[in-house]
Amino acid sequence: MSLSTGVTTSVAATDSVPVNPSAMSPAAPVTPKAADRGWVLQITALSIILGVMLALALNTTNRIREAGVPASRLGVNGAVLQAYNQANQRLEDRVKALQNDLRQYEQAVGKESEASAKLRQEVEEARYLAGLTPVKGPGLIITLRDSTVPKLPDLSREEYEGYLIHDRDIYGILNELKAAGVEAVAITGADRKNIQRVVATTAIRCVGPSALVNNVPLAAPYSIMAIGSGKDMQSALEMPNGVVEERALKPLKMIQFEEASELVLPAYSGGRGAQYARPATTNP
Amino acid sequence: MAPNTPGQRLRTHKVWLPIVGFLGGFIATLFIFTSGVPFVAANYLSLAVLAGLDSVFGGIRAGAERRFRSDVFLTGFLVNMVLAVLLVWLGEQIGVGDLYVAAVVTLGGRMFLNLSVIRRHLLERHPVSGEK
Repeated sequence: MSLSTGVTTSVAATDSVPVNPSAMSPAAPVTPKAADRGWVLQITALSIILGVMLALALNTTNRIREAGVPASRLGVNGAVLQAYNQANQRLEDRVKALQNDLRQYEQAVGKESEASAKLRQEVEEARYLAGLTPVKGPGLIITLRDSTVPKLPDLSREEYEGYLIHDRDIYGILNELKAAGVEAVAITGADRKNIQRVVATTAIRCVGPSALVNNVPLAAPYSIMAIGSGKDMQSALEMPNGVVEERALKPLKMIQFEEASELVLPAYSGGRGAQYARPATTNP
Repeated sequence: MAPNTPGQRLRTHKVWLPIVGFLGGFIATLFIFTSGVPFVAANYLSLAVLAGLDSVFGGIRAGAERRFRSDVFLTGFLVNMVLAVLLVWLGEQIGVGDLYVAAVVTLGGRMFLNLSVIRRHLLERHPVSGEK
């Protein structure tokens, strides 16, 4: 009796999705079979495993989000990013170690003799010119941001792009600053702690929505910190037909000047050294 | 209607055990293994979780219908999981990265189905105990 009920129940339930009330027959066995009794415990055991796995997946997803990997194709990109991040960290450590070595050598040279004092002074000057020493002084902070002015309807693509800050705006302004006698410049993005010193080999490029400065991505708004005469530099930028007026940065509210009594610019932190260039003549 | 026996009532109450077990495992792991698994395994793990979830709901449904069999349940759990993971792996190998969507849709659909069946069973059982 109990066996036949069990069979009909299973057939009915497999074939039709909505439960047939008669399948839950009142004639079903009141005392469950031994195998029947264990099902809750078995499901509980697997539920625990499932809980563990789900939590692991959640933790992993959180870590992926923190690492800033794009959501698509996590498997591949995530692994690559992790590897590159580690390699990057190792290389940065190496740059620091090498710079430290160099400083020690220079100090050793400085201690050696009186005659090398002049040499050391020259090296210091060269280091300043190359942007390898932190510097401070009065100057100007120029902040560039994408326009928030409401856009006119029916803009062409080119006109639309005019509402955004581009790499050429940044280096246009840099060029003007150099012409106005700037002594040291650094650029920082939305993350104010990440300040990139501009040196002779610094490139500024747009990559997607961010700008690469010294191959470090910075996000808008960008601030150019320039040490020099703030008044001179501002008037050079604002001169008629100059870089600011030509791009209509002021009416679009994309530029902002701020005089600073003391700016502190960090040293250039990237790698250096010539791989191809050699001195063509010896010093006189 | 048949008289509501203590055994039957006990079984209905024990349905909460899996939920407690799930939450226990979940919370413990959430705070202990905060690092998760390597990034490469993330996709596989998510699919395995989905397959396991489907098996557990299927098991609860079978239990409610009193046709639960441990062999079916355990093999279903393992085979579903392996199949789902294989599908992700295959998709990545042949460049159809979205192949796992097949597993997601199938398993998700089945979960809804099983849940609705479980709900009906519970609703049907409830008036019986209420009458007593």
